[in-house]
Amino acid sequence: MSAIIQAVELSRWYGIVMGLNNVSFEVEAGLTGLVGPNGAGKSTLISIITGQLQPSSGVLTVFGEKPWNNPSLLRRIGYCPEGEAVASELRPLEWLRGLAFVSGIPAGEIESRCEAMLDRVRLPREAWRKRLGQYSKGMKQRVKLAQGLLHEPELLVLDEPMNGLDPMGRQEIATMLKDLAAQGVSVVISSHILAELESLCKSIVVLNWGRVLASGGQKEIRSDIKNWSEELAVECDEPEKLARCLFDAGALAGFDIDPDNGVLHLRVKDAGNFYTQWTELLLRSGVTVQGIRSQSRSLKNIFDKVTA
Amino acid sequence: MTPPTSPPPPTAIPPVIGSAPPRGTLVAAPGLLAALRGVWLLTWRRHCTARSLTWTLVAMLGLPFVVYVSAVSHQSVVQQILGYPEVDARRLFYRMNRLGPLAPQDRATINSIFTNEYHRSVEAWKPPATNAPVVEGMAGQLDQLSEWNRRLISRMEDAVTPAQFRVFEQFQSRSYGEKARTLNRPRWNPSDAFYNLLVQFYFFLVLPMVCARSCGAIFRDELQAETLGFLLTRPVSRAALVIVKYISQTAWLSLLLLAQTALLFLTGGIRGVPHLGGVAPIFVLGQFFAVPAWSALGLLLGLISNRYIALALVYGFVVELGIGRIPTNINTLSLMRHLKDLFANNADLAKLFDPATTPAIWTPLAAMVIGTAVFLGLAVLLFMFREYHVNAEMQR
Repeated sequence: MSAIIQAVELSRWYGIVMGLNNVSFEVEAGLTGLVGPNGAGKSTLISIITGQLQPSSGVLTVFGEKPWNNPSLLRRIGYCPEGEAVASELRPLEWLRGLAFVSGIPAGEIESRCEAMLDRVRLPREAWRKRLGQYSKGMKQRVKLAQGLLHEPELLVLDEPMNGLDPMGRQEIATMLKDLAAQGVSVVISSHILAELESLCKSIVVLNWGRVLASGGQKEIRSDIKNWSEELAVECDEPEKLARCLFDAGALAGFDIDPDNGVLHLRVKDAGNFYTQWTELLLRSGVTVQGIRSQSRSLKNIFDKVTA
Repeated sequence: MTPPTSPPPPTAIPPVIGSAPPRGTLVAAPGLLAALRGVWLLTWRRHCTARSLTWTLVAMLGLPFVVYVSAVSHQSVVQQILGYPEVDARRLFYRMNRLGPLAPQDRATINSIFTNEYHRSVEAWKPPATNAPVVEGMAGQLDQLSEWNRRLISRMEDAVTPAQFRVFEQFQSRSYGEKARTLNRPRWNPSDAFYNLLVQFYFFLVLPMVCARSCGAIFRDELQAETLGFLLTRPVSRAALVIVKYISQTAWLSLLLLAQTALLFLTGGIRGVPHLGGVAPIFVLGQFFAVPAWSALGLLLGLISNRYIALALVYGFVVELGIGRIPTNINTLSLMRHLKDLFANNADLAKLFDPATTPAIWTPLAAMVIGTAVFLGLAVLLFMFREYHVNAEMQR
């Protein structure tokens, strides 16, 4: 499958501040998550994808074209920004109507399409008479999402779309996004709500400090992590002795001993190597081990590890 | 056994996710006109809230109020000269009572003559032409006062006894002298006050500042509110976006300022300012060309910096008040100089500037069009190549 978004050595500076640092990755069709803590470069990347910013160096293409000042490409992209910013003086239909005209939707279709989009994001009809400034955060998110869907984009770019939504709302939006993906719409979604991304997205791009730490399918990222630092919880009778033995062998990046229950938490340097030496090292230490737990391989753990 | 009840009426079915029109049915045709229609809709709708309209109306009434207060009506000026007929009549009765008590019908007759002649004079009084020399204006006023005096004496001669008439003659001689002396007093000329407020204050100060503020904020306010992204990610070029935003805002502004001008002329009319009918067409014509030019300048300054008001003031001082007053051809860079040339075609407005020559009307209009095109072109170029994004602004 060909990539819809391609970044090659992409960098973006804001003066001396690095927004994106020489990143290269590809995003394929389907649902893709952008994960990273605040300041990781997610919003910068999204702004470049949607043609609001230009790269300082490197190239980013969407559907093979550069997005900056490219109306024909923007016709294929829908965007829902972060935050609560909406035209607060307007009612939702008024706002959507104006944006629909700008998008070039035929005048005869605008009314029905705007109403359909508001229904689609489940904005209650009783709220349509209110001005957007009077809306709750969740309702604003829904209207913002509706405007992004107005012109039937092939790629929908959502910056933190779940913010402010209640659990039911999140579920509804997730269902809608899956439905869109099933219809052939690609979705790039950034979020801090990792559990939802894990269940929603086929592939993930993990960003931190302006760099792509990992990208690809969830399985690929999980297999990658085997080669990274990993945490193990070991229940044993002499945790200090075991830790010293492993440390001397150069297998640990660090360790902690839980003062309450004496559990030894190991931060392993090279997970692949560690497991081949583990039995031998354990025998050499002479410590009796009651149990070993690896941390779960959820996306949240991966995210926590790679962004730590 | 109870009879079976009828089923309850169906309630409205809540909308279902996925009820949007099927994909692939949309044939969108984005373009300049469609974008203009959309942005115009967003612009006027945004301004048409009760709160916004109330504040706009309050702001629009401010200047007419100042005009009303400062531009004294023609009737007030004549009243200042002639005084109050009732007061004059009472003073006369006091003197006549020395001859013997005045009969009530005599009092009523004299009162009637004084009041009647006073109103007649107020209505017939001609204000001096706005461009008339001071001496000439004074002579005209004195003639009218003499006419009032002559009529009053003529009518009183027939209405009172010879003895009473002699008393009246003495009284009227002193009264006429007092009134004639008031003509020499400096008086706030209603026409000058109105035209100075209308042209020097409103047209050359308020109007450019309003345009600069309003159009400078076109993108700055959206950038601050973080709503610019909704427009920047629409399928229109950045150049087209600048143009449609500019046209929409300028059109809205032109309507508001036209209403403001109408209010000013209405206030002038109420205060009896002469020659408004001759001034209005050229004034509206000037405004029709000035608003787009100042708006384009405001747009450009707004795109250059978020301190566009300060930039506008600097521009005003350097180009309009500085370069515009240099008596060489370099002053053609000043838009105000061209507007003054335009107004020089009207006698009432020309006296405000004392122009050496009066160029053809199309020359200043062409200059305004060129100015608009230059400012707008620069704004478009800037917007095409410069990023307008919260992060990029923080960097600056």
